[in-house]
Amino acid sequence: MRKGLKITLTLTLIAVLSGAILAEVYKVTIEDIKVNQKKEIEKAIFSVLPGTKEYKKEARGTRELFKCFDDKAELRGIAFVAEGIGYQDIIKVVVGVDSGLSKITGIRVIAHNETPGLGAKISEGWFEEQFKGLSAAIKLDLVKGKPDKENQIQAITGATISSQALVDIINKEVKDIKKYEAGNCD
Amino acid sequence: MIRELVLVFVAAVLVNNFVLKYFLGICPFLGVSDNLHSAVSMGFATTFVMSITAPVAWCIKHFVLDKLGLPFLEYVCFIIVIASLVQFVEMVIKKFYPALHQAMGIYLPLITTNCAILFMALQLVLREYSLLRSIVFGFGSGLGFTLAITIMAGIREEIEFCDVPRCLKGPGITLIIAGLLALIFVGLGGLIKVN
Amino acid sequence: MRQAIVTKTPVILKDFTKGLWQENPVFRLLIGMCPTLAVTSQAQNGLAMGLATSFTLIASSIVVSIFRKLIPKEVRIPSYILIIATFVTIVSLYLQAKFPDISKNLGPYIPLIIVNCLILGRQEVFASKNPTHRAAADALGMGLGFTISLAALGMVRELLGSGTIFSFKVLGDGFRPWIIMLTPPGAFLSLGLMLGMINIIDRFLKTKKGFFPKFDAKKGRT
Repeated sequence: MRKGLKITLTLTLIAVLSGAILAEVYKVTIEDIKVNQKKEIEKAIFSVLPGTKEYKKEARGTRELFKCFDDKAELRGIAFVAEGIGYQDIIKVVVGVDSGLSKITGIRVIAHNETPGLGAKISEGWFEEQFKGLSAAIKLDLVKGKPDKENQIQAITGATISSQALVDIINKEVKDIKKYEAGNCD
Repeated sequence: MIRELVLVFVAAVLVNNFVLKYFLGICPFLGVSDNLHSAVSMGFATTFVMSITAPVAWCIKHFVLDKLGLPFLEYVCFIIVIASLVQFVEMVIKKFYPALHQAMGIYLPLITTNCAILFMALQLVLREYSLLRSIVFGFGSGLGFTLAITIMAGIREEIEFCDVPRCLKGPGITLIIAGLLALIFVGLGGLIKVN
Repeated sequence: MRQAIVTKTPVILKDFTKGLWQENPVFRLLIGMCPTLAVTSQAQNGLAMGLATSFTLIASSIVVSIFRKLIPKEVRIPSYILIIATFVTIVSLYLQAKFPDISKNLGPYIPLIIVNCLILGRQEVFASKNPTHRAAADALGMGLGFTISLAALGMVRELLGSGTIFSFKVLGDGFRPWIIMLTPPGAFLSLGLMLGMINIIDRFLKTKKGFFPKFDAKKGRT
């Protein structure tokens, strides 16, 4: 009986102490963690829509989109987080489109779990750079080798599936955002 | 719906095999794989615990931690759940299936420190799986572990009679075999297509 | 007791150094393999993982050894796990707050420090039976041994897999990276081959120079 009491007491004491310590640590760190998470999205937004000074978060269904304004408070475009399944896991990418929804101003992959050295190259600058300035009106096409027509993206050698996945995600979500915005304006 | 569940299942068993892709449960994978029988026992014991842990972890996350706003207690809570479940499962098996307990008795306590289980619990929260998906995910991950450890044990039983370089005997050659197995599983990566 | 005081310094030193080579957690004891394989595609990640694990190990060892007489035997494992989980949560929150990049790279493997057999094993084998200063020395040595091993494996894989070490370019443009080294198969293969190499070096040290004759005679390593 006494033994049982001692066991219960010890475990309870440890659990309570651990809970109390963690609550304190959590309180101290949570501010920084939130700032970091915000910074990450912010960095991506500023890079896909250069010239952005301020942005406003809006809910779009279950997701979010960011209306971006320049220093004269004029609408520069919209940035949004697109996601879909890549070769192995979910790819998350921030896409920027201009205010008329006619052009892709840039993309930035913020989360992926593709094969290092192959599919992981989707988050490299040269690959993301290809999307800059392409039309949002027609579908993007993935080609192997140098692109020779409009709106073509060169696939990463040895990682066609990852490249295709990213292009598909962007095609789909750009279409969605246009539908959403059209519905919003009417 | 069913298609999605099948996808989660295939992904957990083959494509994202816990052992060969995420390096989880390597300790039992190296330690218990020298004999086919114990490997299979270990595999099924783990699968069993994982299938129960998944829904319990889901419920704790959604009905306790989220409700009370205590996200920082996630690790502590999950590990307690796993440790208690393992203990509980051991007691139940001992009471009702003594033969089974004799077969896999010594492996049961080891399951607590199998990182595959904690990882599975944390992942189903991170990926925001529904309850049904979580169960499929837990079961599939366990089967994936069983598959890997069984294949490994089969190969190691054969290799016992081979002339392995002295410096690679034991864990060295086991890891190299695991590398080749992982290479095979990389080939399964394309099973799930983007759609 | 008297004996303990007389031999205090060498004992502590031995507690510390044994984790570095003779009982190196990764290469000799083969524990804590999951993070060893998972995060070593870059030397930097290996180092960070090693340090995070070391912190948890040292902190839990000290706490466990201080309270070793108060914790009932029957519930020692759950108690240790609780203590370890608390420290791991602290590490995880701290990394998320101060080093978001590292936290992102190590991602899901940080909580897995809780079930790293190295930490639980040290509590059970050493910290729960020895005074605090010895437990701390043991944890420090084991942690350092673990960190060095992870960084070494990370360096090998990063060098062959991307031609860099700690993100500094080492191999010239003519080098074609062995991408397989960065993938799971490469992790298993390189660790397996490194184990073989360590065994060869160990045998060489034993036969030629007799570095650790006492230890071997006593333990009779396989």
